[in-house]
Amino acid sequence: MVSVTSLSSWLTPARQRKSRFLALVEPHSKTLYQTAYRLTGNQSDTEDLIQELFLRLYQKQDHWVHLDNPRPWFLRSLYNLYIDLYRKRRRTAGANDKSKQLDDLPYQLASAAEVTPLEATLDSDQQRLLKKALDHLDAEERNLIVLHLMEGYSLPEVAEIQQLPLGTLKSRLHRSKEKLKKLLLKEPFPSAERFLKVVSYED
Amino acid sequence: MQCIDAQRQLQSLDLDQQPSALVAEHLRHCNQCHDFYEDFRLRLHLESFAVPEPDPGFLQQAMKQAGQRQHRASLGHRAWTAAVAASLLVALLLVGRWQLPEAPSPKTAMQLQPQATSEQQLKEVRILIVSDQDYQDAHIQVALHEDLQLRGYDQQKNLSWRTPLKEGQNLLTLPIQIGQKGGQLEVTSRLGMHTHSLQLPLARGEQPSG
Repeated sequence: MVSVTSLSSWLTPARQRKSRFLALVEPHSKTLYQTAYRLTGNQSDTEDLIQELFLRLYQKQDHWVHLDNPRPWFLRSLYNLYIDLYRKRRRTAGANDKSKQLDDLPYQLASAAEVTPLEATLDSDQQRLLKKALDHLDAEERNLIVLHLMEGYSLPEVAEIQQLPLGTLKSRLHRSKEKLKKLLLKEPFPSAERFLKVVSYED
Repeated sequence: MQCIDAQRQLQSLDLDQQPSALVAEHLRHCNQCHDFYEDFRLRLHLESFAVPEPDPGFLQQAMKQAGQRQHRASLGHRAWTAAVAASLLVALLLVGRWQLPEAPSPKTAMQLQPQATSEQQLKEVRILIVSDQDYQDAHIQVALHEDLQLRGYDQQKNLSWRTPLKEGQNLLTLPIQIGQKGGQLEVTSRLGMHTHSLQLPLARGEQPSG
């Protein structure tokens, strides 16, 4: 007997596609926003990323609608869009930021143009330092740190999202973690003193 | 000092606090506790990353806009589709009208199976797409010429989807509403490097000819 695969599932009228999309994406929307914020570090880029993500998810609905758990698919799409944004930002900003010595990092507070007034109020010096350190990671390194260490996804889950073998993932995660430690923890002096020094430096 | 005691004391610190002289001395000689302390401080840093709540209504609005933007994008496809259709007609003449014959190394074939059921103006047109392998990203286009409409897609004359296809037979049933003048239905599939197209004239109250 010949087996026939029905394609009717994707022949769904626009209205139904919209309501199905809303019903399936809504439970994940806040988590995706959080992840996007941790990747970009600011609200404006997060909103752009999320809008692009939702558009892509809508367009590719037929690819994930049948999945029991579509979140890895969503996170993978988010990562791909983040890579695009990251490359665009690098092209715009040039390689200057990336070529700075790591020792310069404590003096690099976020510029006023990069954060909204609300964010500036909410951000502690510590948080700004962390954002700057994260900015020194490349897109994949940051994504691994965000997914595993900040969002708490297990290694097998991250491996699925990133489509990496577990062993490769572990070594890349280790490298990313060591890089971040070097940026954040190998300080010549405690952070409180460091920021006092920043003030006197700018004065 | 024992490692267990050092680690217990380290865990009670926050990022602004320094270990006591005794613990600091232990850290200088104990790699295990040193690594533990670094991991712990990294975790504290990462936990301190506060994510603000999204603006009220932003997520709902963004999800709704995704559907609307997609709709506008599909309307923009019309001119492009028309240009492609013209060139596909040549390919169709070469391979036959409804069914591909033994074409040289055909990767896929498409057949149209006329459907007898007719409900007033509605006809179900069943299209069988025969694929020699699984395709993750086949592109299927439906163009409705003249007085034809696909039920559920009011006023849309060109529709396209990307869909996976299974090896073997893939059935697509199109509920076509046929107006007074009838019209021509055109279905195009692009599978990998191969493109196939079918054209079918449809009229009210008649079986598809061909």
